[in-house]
Amino acid sequence: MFYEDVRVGQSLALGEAAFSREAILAFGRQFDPRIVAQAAEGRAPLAASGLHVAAAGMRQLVDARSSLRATMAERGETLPQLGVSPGFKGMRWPYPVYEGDIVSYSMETVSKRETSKPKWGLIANSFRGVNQRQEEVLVFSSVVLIARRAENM
Amino acid sequence: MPDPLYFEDFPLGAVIEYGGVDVSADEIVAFARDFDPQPFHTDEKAARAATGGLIASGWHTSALLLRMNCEAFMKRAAILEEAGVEEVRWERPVRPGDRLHVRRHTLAKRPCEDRLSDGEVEFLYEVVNQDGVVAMTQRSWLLLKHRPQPFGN
Repeated sequence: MFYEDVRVGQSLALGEAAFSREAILAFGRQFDPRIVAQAAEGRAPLAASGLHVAAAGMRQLVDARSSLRATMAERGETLPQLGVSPGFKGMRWPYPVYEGDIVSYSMETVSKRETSKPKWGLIANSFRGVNQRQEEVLVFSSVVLIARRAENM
Repeated sequence: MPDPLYFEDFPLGAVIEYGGVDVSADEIVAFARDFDPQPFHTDEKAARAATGGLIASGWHTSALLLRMNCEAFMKRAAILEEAGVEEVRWERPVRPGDRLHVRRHTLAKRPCEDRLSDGEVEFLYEVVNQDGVVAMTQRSWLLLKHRPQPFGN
């Protein structure tokens, strides 16, 4: 998707991620030793690391974007250059994610503006994850550079 | 088990350094396959053209910061809640062979409005590489318990 194709207020469903006990523990073994300690104490259900919940959302975003790009390629359209994300703001985890939970991710565009570089525009997104009980488990805002169509240059 | 770390154990303005992790190409690719499968994170050849070689997913750098924080202090801090992340900035790419450590600043402290026993501490974490370059910054709050007062005070 190019800058010109993005509409403010547009919401995109990104897909779901299931949090098994094994997946929560695997993330814990690599990055959050507190989870390993909780498992050793016999804590059940285990809660996922907040960062795991966010990274699993990134995976959904990348997959959704890949299938969008595949569709564009099939139609013979030019593919926009991918921009690297500079970071995020305001991450909150209102409810924990427990083993067995399924999180659905979505992203809404809240604003867009052109930059001083004719090749790139700036898009602000609000990112959200809800569990199978419709409880909000993740929210954050991100700003990404997105390629503009070549006819603007 | 060492004593827990309480609200009082993080003096305002303190700057301390800790951690030290080596980042390998295999780890960069393995993380990205799970959470951020974009070519500049998973494919050395594609990355050469796009980003001058393989770069780690920003989420991977965030996860390494979490691990270094857990090992250095979060595992034994009297944390009631990870109250959220205000801002993360992925400033410079992390590449295979980099060695990262953390420089932590205690930015702000405030008592909890509804519970006298707790307080919030805001930290700024800088993830620094072997050349002293800041690859990432994170500002976030932890809700911590106050050190219990002995009776008679």
